[in-house]
Amino acid sequence: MKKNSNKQYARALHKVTTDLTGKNLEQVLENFVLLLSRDRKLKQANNIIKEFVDYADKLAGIVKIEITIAEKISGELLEKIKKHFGDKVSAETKIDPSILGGIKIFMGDKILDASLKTQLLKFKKGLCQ
Amino acid sequence: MSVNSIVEQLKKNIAAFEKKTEVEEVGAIIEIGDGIAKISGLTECQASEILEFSNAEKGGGKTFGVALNLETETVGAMILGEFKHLKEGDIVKRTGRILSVPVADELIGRVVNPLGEPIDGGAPIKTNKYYPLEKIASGVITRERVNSPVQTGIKAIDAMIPIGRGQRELIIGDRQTGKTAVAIDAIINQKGKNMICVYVAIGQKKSKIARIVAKLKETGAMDYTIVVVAGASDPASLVYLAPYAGCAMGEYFMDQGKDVLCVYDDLSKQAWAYREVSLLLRRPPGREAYPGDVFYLHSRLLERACKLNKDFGGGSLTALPIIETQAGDVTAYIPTNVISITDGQIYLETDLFYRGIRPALNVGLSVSRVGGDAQTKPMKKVAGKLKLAMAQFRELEAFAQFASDLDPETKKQIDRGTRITELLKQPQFSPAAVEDQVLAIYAVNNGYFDSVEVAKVAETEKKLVEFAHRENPELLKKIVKGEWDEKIENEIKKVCEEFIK
Repeated sequence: MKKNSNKQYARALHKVTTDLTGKNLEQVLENFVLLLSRDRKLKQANNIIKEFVDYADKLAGIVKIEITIAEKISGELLEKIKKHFGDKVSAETKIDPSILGGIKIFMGDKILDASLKTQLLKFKKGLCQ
Repeated sequence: MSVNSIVEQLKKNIAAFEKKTEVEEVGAIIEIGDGIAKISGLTECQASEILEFSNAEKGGGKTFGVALNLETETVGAMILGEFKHLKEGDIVKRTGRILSVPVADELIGRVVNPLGEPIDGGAPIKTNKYYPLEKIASGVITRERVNSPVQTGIKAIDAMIPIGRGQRELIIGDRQTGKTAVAIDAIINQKGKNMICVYVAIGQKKSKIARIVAKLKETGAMDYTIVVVAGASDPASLVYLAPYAGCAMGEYFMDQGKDVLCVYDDLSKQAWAYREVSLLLRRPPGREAYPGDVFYLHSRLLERACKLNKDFGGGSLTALPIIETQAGDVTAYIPTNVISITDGQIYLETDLFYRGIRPALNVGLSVSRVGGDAQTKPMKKVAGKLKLAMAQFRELEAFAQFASDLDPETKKQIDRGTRITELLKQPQFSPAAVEDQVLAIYAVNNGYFDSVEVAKVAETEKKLVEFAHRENPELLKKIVKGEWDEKIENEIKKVCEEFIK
């Protein structure tokens, strides 16, 4: 039997649970856990939950970003950045003084690096050549 | 340079610097150990792409890796070089570059690692040109048949197992039988023959490599040689890549229409390194625990040896792979594979080595499938007779001890055989020129050495060569040019007869 990936489990779960409520939902979730135990995937449960949330967000059109910045971010700037990525944006912010200045935005498995540190390193490389 | 101009230059550089922000794709290490990392993310990653591992603690220091396994949710990569500082959760970036080495004319005379970084303490190699390590070999349209010889300077090889430019000739034998010596002699003999040599040392002791480099420098061979080193202490990833790196450097010169000689010393160690990497990547093991594609590992490397035709520059890349056997077992997995890929093999034997026959060539088992076409005419003429005499001698060799009871004809053949064997002995680092080889082989074939004591054959040969150089240098020049007719043969005859007197 071909092994299913975490993503496939998450998608399947999403598909069967979208329009369910109350008792039915409970029943489905119980069955899903049994399925995971049968497939020996209980260890992966946390990853599957993560995939599930990601998938649901994606369907709902929510873009998740993580902003790293050297100092505390102002509300106004945050709104501006959020607007740039679309209407529904859920943003997390992280303060990391080691990037010196500028901003670093993670978006799924992409990274937009406009930090001062990276720019300086690039500049150093350019001068050394 | 004055202070002002430095400032000017600096200002110009600063002005030219553009603030660029690029979207980069990243992933994170899930699992790491033994030089292999399992990475999440990197959805767009290509096969054999270079990955950049950045570790926050190490600041600007960068480590590179190569993506080998692309799986549904993870990427398996091998790390090139040190990996102790990397840990789970570290960020990995795509570079978008396929694994490649820098190539330039200034590589000649240098000792570099498989990534093209010098390890001889010299200046870094500055070039903008990169060649991919893995490249599909030249196609049918671009090739032509092997037609010119590689003179190894070793009499036994040049006469009986000739190697042509663009050929792949395997050197196989147990440890300590002089495999490396044959290859190094061949490199040393390329002096002034318009050949670029690449010596790839794979998984060897650093002391041995240092000795070889010193010898190459001493004989002046370093002026046209590149040494690519992945030593025994280097990680398996670099050992596995070394031959491809050497081949890519060779291809750069071949594409310029030059002739290249590539020695891979030795491929059994590369197969071990590849086995290690494969098992760590959890690829299923097969025979002798090698992965299923170990044949392809060598065939794709050796297939890159070729002779290009005029329309494609006319360059060539000759490969001399070396394989070490265990206790003379050529039926092991890797030796049989490589024997079947190459265009012939030079088989070296421990027995012969200890009997004093050096190079310890087993003439019966060694063959060259295409080199015969490449021999010069004089060599072809004299070598044919030599091969026949050696074959007859091998049949009769067992009777040699009862020499007194044999009929005169058999005795003569045995005597001739022992003298030929003696003539084919050659000390290390003393390559013989083609004309000298032809002359000596002609003399022994036609019985001019029959009256010489066996122990004195080498000495007499030396005297004969000196005599010919003194008496008839014109004749030798003609032989070098590859001319051969009755007149020349008669002249050689005359020289030999005069010498015997």
